[in-house]
Amino acid sequence: MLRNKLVSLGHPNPEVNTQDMKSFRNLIVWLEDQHIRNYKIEDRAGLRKITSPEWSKAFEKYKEDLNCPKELKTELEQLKWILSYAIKLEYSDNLDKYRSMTSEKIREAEKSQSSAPSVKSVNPFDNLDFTSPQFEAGVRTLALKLNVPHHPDHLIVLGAISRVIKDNLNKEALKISIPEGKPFPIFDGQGMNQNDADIETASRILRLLQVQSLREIQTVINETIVECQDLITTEPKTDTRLGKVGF
Amino acid sequence: MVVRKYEDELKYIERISDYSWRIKKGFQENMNVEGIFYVNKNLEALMFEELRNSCRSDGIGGFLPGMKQIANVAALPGIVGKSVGLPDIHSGYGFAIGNMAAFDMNNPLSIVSPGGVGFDINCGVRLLRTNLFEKDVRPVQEQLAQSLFDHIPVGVGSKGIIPMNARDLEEALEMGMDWSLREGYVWAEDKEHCEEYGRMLNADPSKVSVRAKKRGLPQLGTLGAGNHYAEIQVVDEIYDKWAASKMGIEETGQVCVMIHSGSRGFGHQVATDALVEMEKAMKRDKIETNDRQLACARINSEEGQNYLKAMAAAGNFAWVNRSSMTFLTRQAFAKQFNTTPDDLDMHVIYDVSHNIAKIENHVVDGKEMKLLVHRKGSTRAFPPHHPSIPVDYQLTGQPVLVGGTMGTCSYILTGTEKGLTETFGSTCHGAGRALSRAKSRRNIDYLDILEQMKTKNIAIRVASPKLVMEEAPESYKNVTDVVDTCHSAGISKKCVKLRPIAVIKG
Repeated sequence: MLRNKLVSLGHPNPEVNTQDMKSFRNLIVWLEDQHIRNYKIEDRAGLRKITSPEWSKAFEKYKEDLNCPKELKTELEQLKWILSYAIKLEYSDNLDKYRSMTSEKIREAEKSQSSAPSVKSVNPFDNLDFTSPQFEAGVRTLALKLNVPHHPDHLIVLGAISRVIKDNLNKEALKISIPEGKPFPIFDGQGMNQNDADIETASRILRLLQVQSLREIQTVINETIVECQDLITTEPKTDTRLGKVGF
Repeated sequence: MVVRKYEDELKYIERISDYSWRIKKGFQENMNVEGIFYVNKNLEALMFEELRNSCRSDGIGGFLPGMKQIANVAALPGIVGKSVGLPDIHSGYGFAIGNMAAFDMNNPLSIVSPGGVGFDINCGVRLLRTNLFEKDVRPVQEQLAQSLFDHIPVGVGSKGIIPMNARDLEEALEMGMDWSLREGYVWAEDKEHCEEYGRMLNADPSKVSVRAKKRGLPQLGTLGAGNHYAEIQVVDEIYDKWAASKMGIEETGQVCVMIHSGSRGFGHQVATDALVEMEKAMKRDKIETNDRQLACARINSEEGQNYLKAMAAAGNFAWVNRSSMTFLTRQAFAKQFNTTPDDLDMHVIYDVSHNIAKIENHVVDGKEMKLLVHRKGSTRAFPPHHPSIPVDYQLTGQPVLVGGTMGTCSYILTGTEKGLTETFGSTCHGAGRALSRAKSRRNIDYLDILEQMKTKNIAIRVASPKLVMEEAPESYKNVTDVVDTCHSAGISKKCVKLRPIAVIKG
């Protein structure tokens, strides 16, 4: 407790040994100097002479001046009281600062601190301004290089660019040679019954993309089935003794 | 049934184009809509001969001729659009095989008919590709045929080598191919390339009789008999290079495996049980049909719902069955070539169902409608960009697998926009029978057939050689005629032709 109080008052060495006379006297001086300030600086001389035999007298007078209860007999008890007194002063001096600090709030603050340790961001993109003209110009240049069509919102263009890079320019994709032959005749066959030619084109393209995403889903389904098979399936059984060829 | 002279009958049949004919109302009683059938010159002759024969016999004899059956289906309550006959059409129980019909789900009188699905519920074709070529397989052709024959039990009364107990079966009926995935028999990508992703969600095993389950239990992973087969095929011709490459077929000579099978005795029992239940429902709800074989129930009735749920369970059974055979085929190839199925790139190209009823949305007269589409001996063929087809085929249209007959070729077609509007996205399913099974047995010698295979350099393994003549190419229509008609009529598009080098049969 003593230690906690010293920490909260900002003592440089909260582990101070109060049994040691010198340390004890130093601590009293520190409290008067930093927090209690009951005397003017020149009047603190008596307390400061910690090696002088007169110190005890000065301490008696100091306790009296602070109205330290006479019932407290031991030095430790007296120290504790003086400490609390110092804290009380500190609190009333900064009432607004401490009033809102209830134990619950402090506990909460401690909790959130431990579960979400503040990590210093190392991602340089976090500090980028995505709306700055330089950034937009960069996106437009990249789009031009990768043949990504224009869209008024450069962030949408950026999304498209990221897909092109992810799907077509990854290590695996670059290994596959570009297939030769005729491309899929997207405009032949059953259409989407749209009157507007542009909407018809767009819907046919969307339909093709839908097939692609269906394939991805189906692959995930198959992988899941295989995982389940690994979990629960034993070796498939056969028993040739059961077999019987008919007539 | 109306009995007229052949010449009078012809007044109701009218040519629409070089490849299609209209059956006008009045050809049979109570027709709600018109009928249509697709044939070229060669197939046309067969159709009309069948009608003439039935006029001569005054309606006495086996099944009604295909044209009459199309018209009778057109008289069923709730049918919309047209009753459609596809080029491989031939007479069957109630509905002709190769007949599709759609019923309005919002009409309380609309019906569901087990005869419109067939006894082998969710019979279908699955095609696996490999990265092998004919030159890799030819030297080991016989060994590979034998290995497949050893892995996939065939024939009537055959039993599978995948151990199953009653609880496994219940789960498989509910989960379809998801069960095969969970048990590790198939790959995740297989599911993606399967109609309905290999699972009918409305399946309810509790609506299936104990008898059906007992029949089905030992049969999972077996091919069955009849026209079912597993074939090692090579790519003979590519018509649409781009669409073929989307399926992983790059060059002629590439080796594929085709599996044609269904729900075995399980589906047969589900259909039989439903027919019995529905006869009662017809009496109660006073449903009138032109043919007793067209037993049906209102979609919303208890019997109708029970059938749809049990049919879905049988559909799931068929998918698990084809998936089990996919697994066994991969094992056989991996062993033969001392590698893994992965390294052989043995992916499922596609899996079609050609005996099934499904709820689909279609545009009829400019209005979107929710329909119950019956396809019996007819394959769904959806065009590019249809939401129900896998993402890999969004641009090409759905692959349609058309199995030929023993020793003849098979085809891959793709779905078209025209097919969607004209035939509710349906096309042919195979060659289609020309001679009845009994007639085939009388007229053809099985030794001749085996000799024929030998001269064509096709390895063959059969469980019962004496039944082989039923499946002889002579008993069937020419699959090339059938496929060319679909292509010319525009209801689907030719993509790849395959020819067999090894056949496994029941």
